[in-house]
Amino acid sequence: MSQALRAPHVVDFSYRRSTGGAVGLFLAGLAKGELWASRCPGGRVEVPPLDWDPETGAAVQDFVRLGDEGTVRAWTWVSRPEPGQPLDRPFALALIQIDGADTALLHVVDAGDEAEMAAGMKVRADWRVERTGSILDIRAFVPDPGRRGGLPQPPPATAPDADPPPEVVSNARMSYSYEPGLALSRFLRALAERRIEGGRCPSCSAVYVPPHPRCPACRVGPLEPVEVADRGSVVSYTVVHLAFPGLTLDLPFVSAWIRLDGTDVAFAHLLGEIGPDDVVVGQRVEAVWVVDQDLAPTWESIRYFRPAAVDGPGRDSEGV
Amino acid sequence: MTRVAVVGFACEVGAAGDGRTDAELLAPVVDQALEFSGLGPDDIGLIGTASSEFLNGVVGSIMGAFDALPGWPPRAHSHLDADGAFSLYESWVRLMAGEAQAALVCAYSRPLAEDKRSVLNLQLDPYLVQPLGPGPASLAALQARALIDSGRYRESDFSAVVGARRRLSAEDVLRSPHLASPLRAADCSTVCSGAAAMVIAVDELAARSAGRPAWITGIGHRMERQSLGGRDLTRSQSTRAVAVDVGLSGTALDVLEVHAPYSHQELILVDAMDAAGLGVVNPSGGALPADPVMATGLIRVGSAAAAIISGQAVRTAGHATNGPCLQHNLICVMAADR
Repeated sequence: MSQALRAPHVVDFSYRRSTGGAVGLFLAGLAKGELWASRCPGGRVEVPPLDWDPETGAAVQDFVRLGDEGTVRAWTWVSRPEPGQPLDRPFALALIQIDGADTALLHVVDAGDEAEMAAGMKVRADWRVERTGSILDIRAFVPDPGRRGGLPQPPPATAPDADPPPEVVSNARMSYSYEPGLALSRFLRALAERRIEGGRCPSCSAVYVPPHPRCPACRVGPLEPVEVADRGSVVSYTVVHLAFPGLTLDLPFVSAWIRLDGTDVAFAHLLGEIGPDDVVVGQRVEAVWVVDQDLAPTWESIRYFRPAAVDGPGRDSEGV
Repeated sequence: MTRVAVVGFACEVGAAGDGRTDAELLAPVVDQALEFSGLGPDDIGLIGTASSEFLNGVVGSIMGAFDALPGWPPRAHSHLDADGAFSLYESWVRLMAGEAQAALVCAYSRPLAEDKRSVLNLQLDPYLVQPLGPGPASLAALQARALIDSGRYRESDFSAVVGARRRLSAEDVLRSPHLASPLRAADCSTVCSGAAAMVIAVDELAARSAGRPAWITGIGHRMERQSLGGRDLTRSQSTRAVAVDVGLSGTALDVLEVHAPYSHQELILVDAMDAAGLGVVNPSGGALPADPVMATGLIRVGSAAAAIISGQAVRTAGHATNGPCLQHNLICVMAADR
């Protein structure tokens, strides 16, 4: 398995999410330093609030303000906080039942030490001064042992203005170690040696570039490695007029399906040294490779394909 | 009425990152499942697959797995971003509806993300929970703590589960440090790569299969609300309801395979199933020693089926879960013809 390649790969799944309804109202309340709950028609009080009663499906129209004190119902200790967590010192992750609510809110407790934590302990919200309409507007809940418990006085209840509702930004940028697999690793390594290596199905003899783990038609594999020429014909093409990240050619340029001589399946690559108006289907083309020191296990070792000057072996066509 | 049986199953679980792609992982497993069933690729009328593109970071990665599937001439194919057991459920429904005589169900997983915690956080409510960055082990630990506080179980009960599944001494487990109290590293499943393939078939075709068909006598799944603070984490209401739906409650099994990525969850699940007799629980080792996320549940059902096909058991059940703190649960009960 030591022949398999791997490469860093970053994917950004970040979104700006609109809110509305109960979540929007809750976030708008947080921006004001207030905790709001939904009261279902049956009387059940939910924090965080919901738009519909989970028991009956009935729409919830009754929102009530609660105080910012509650009771820890379940907890765990995070002894080594990681980047992206709310506190940079050990804390408890906890389900906190706000006084007057029937459900619990997930948040953190800044208790200093695990020994301070217990189910049933009283806590209160520690609000940030700068609030934006985020669950993080509560910096943390903190132990509040002096409190005698019981329902707090109902605070003034004017529902927060949630128009426009706050947006939630989710930054989900993740790093991967991409593995192209055994068959493709072999193909990519050949490109780093200025070679194109296809795979021939031992059953139907079809030659694939790039090779597959198995013949997609016969399910037979592995394919037999076969060296193929770096020249072939344009099967189809399109003209690209719009810029996008990673462009290597000037606009407009031609992206073409190319089938190399002696192979059965076309692949997509770029055409260079020819204008969009001059390309025809069936055009004979040859690879233009990067200079030797830039060769690497990537398709980009071929800069593009260009019209074949002489219809013979094209292996000596150096990059410009 | 149409009956559907599991007639073939194979899986491979291994350390992450041996360089194989999804198709390279899956192809030999598909071959083995077909061979085990005695059916050929031409018998397969529809294909169900399951994986997570968030785990391998490749958008559209199912396309790369096509090479491992009997895809030519084209079959009806449905892909889920979920555990393969839920793809089994869909395929079972479609066979019951008469869409095909046999189906191939596959799941595969390569955990290539450097930070698995951040990937699994994407399952959570993005408005009020994701910003807290809780991580899957911490959420499971909240549940474990609540279970201890309920008075029904102690940490030593968790360690007994770990000892049985990982073949360790429970005392050694108890001496290791907490990862997220009250859970230790050994209480949390070991995430790895893996692939599983299952062949299911109807009536006469199943009866023609190579082994003894594991007839599906009940399969179903239920999901609980997303809000962790809005449900009793110490009891699995969805599992309890499904156990009634599929006829597991009050019946006796020879083998039960439970998908519990955390040790305490096995205790919660087994309680909720309310079976009259459990038989042998997790003879495969369960999810703790090897957890190819998205294939793990299908492997539980497949292991329970294989015990019938090979003649070792008469009545078995497999369970699969998905989502934080056992949010979504599936049970498949199977039996041999007497």
